[in-house]
Parts: sequence; C-alpha cells; structure tokens
Amino acid sequence: MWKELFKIAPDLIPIIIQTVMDLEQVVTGIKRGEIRKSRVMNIISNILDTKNYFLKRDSGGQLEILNLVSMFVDVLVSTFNYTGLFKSTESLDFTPIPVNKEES
Amino acid sequence: MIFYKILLIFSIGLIASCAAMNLTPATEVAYEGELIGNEDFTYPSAGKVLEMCLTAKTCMGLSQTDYPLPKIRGLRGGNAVECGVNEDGTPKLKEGCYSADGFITVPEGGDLDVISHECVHHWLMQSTGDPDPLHGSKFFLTCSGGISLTEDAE
Repeated sequence: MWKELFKIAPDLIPIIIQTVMDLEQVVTGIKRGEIRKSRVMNIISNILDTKNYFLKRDSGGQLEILNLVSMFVDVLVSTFNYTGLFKSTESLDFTPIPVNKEES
Repeated sequence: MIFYKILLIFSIGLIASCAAMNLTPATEVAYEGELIGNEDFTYPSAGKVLEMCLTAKTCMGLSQTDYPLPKIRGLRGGNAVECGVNEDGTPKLKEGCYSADGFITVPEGGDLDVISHECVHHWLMQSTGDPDPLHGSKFFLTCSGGISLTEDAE
C-alpha cells in the first residue's frame, strides 16, 4: 500500500497542494479562507478517477488512499497556517468611533 | 516542477515565520469591551474581528451553539501585550492572549490573524471549560490561520 502510494506521490502531492491553493483563492473572494474539506476531497477524488489511479482497485483500496489524502490535506492546511502563507496583511485598528445614537 | 516551487515557498515562509521579532509591551488601553463595539464606541476593525472569530467557531464545528462572543481589549504603545510572567519574573510578552474572564487582549497595529488564534482559545473554553493554554488542540492549526478547514455540511 505505502509502496504504491510513494510511487504515485510525485503526481499526487502537487495535485493536492494545487487544489487547496486554488480553493483558497476562490473562497477568499466569498468568505475569507474557509475551505470545505468535503469539497477538496471531492475534487481530488475526481482528479484521481480521471487519471485512472483507481483502475485496478476495489472500493476498500480507494478508501484507504483517500484517507491518506485526507490526512495530507490536514497537514497541508496546518503547514499553510503555521508558516503564515495566507496570513492577513491587515492590522488591528482600535481608533474609537463614536456610535451615533438617535435622540429619543 | 511546481512541487519544487511550492517547497521553496514553504521554506521561505518557515524562515520568515521563525525570524526574531523585537516585542515591546503596549500598555495604554485604546478600546475595551464587546467584540462588536460598546454602547458609545466601536472601532474600525470590529467587523473583521467579528468575522474571524465566527469563522473559527464554524471551523470548530460549533456554529449551531449559542456561546457568547469573547470581549476584547486593544492596547496601544507597543507591538505586544503582557500575558503573565516568565519563570525569571520578567513579563511574558506575546502578540495576543486570552484570559479565562473571556477577554482577548491584543496590541493595536497587531496582525488580524492573532484574533482567530485567541478565538480558538475562547471557543475551547466555552465548549470544554479548558482554553488549552498549551495549544494541544488540532484546531490551533486547522482553524486559526489564513485557511479554515471545516467539515461542516454545506
């Protein structure tokens, strides 16, 4: 299993990284940096299907690979956050703004 | 080829994040109160701060709960805040801290991303009774940064 995974890793890892980064760019415009993990997994699963990685595999074998991919996505996101690759460039501003109150 | 480019970005990011930063304590209170603003005053970052805190909550799978929002204290005069003391008695300077009374304390001019980290402490405190000061929870990595990974159903 691991031997096979290592064999496809050079193809697989860039796909996963690119998928997460693409989604980050897409999602940022809508709501900052929120990624649905299921969406990432669906895309990766579809890519793997297209590339016929699962051609000679039963559903158990596919699930095993997808579980490993899922773990890798967690590690990848953690790395992005730890290294601050998608860090906000905005800084905190506490300048007081008076709240306009309507006179009763 | 793209793999090596990404590896290079990772390395640069890691080196940058490890670079030493000279921390000076902020002591003057610029704002203190509710996250979204008080009765009389609010502040320019209030909207973003609220959004980041709620994003962290959703990421942690707590969107359906009605836990109260944290309160916030913004300090002026430095780029760090005092969060307790070191073993040698000197003040522990950090870019932000969360205290059990529900207050997030951050320096004015600090990075907005610190808010999501402190909010993870707050939501852990609300949901488990322990703010996890040693950062053992995986949520500090998956929910307190530029990317929030959530498994909530669409």
